[in-house]
Amino acid sequence: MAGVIAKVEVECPECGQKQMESENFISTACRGCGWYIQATGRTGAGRRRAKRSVVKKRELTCADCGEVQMVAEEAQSSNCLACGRHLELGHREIVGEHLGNLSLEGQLTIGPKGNFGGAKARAAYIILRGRSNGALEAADWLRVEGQAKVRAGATGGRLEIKVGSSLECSGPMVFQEGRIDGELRCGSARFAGLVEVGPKGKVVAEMISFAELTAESGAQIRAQAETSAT
Amino acid sequence: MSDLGSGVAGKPVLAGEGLQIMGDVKLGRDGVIRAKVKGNVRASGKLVLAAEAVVSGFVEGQDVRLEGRVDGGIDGRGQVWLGPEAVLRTRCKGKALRIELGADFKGELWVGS
Repeated sequence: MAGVIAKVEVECPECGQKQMESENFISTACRGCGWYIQATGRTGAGRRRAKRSVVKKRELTCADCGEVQMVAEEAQSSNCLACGRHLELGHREIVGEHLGNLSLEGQLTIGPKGNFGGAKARAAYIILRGRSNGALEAADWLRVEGQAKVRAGATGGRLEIKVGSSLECSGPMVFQEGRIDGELRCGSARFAGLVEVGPKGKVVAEMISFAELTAESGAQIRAQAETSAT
Repeated sequence: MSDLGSGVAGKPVLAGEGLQIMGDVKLGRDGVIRAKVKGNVRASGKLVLAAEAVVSGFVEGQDVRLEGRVDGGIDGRGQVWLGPEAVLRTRCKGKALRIELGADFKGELWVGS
């Protein structure tokens, strides 16, 4: 965003009319008589440049091709310079029915009465309090903070189910790691790394796989399970 | 059944390396198993199955730490711990459970009451 440009008073050498111009003006016309007025210090050290605020930038990784690029911190959308993919950078909250796919670089929140009805929603972070008929992909983490249902499966970095929350998932779940303090009911769940089940956590799954597991005293797990090769 | 519960008072029973036991084993106190057991192992206290231990049947104990191999499953009344070299098949039951990275488990998982 440009800074405020200072003004200077300019007097017409022909008619004496005074008018305000930008301090950087090169030439102008007199508003009284139309005389062409040239700035005296048009170039060189006497002329100050307008101060412009530095645009803060942040790093952005394209979800499709992985290209890293810099975008303005305040930008709401961008296009990947490598593959041309449209990148929606802001956050989105679904409070009712949402049809159509979503792909965000920010945070997606599905509210308690929200229902994602598209085929696939992708975001860096997903907070799930409602339902999703489509598949969810949370690049960084998916956090369940209510009574949530996912029909088509979920993938991502880290799965967190908070105390008192529950997730019922009909489709396959694939995550890097998980922290279950609430309840998870699913067909199959695959974790590449560590799964932690807290003292109030409950897991009921047809099949769960993980590299390592910690179930604290008080936790409940009922599942067929296997450790995955690392 | 081999009853190994009458060891030195206060010390855990030790079933040593190279020993092969044909039949079930019952331990009246804490124990460390390094032997190969063709049968089941029941312990009333804590039980450690060392890396050399191979049990073909199931293992019961209060707290069970597995570093070796058990084919018939573990039924722990307290904590169950599978070390990074542990191999467990069939079933794993306990009140609390830790499966280390590198452990090999496949079967029914039952944690809690």
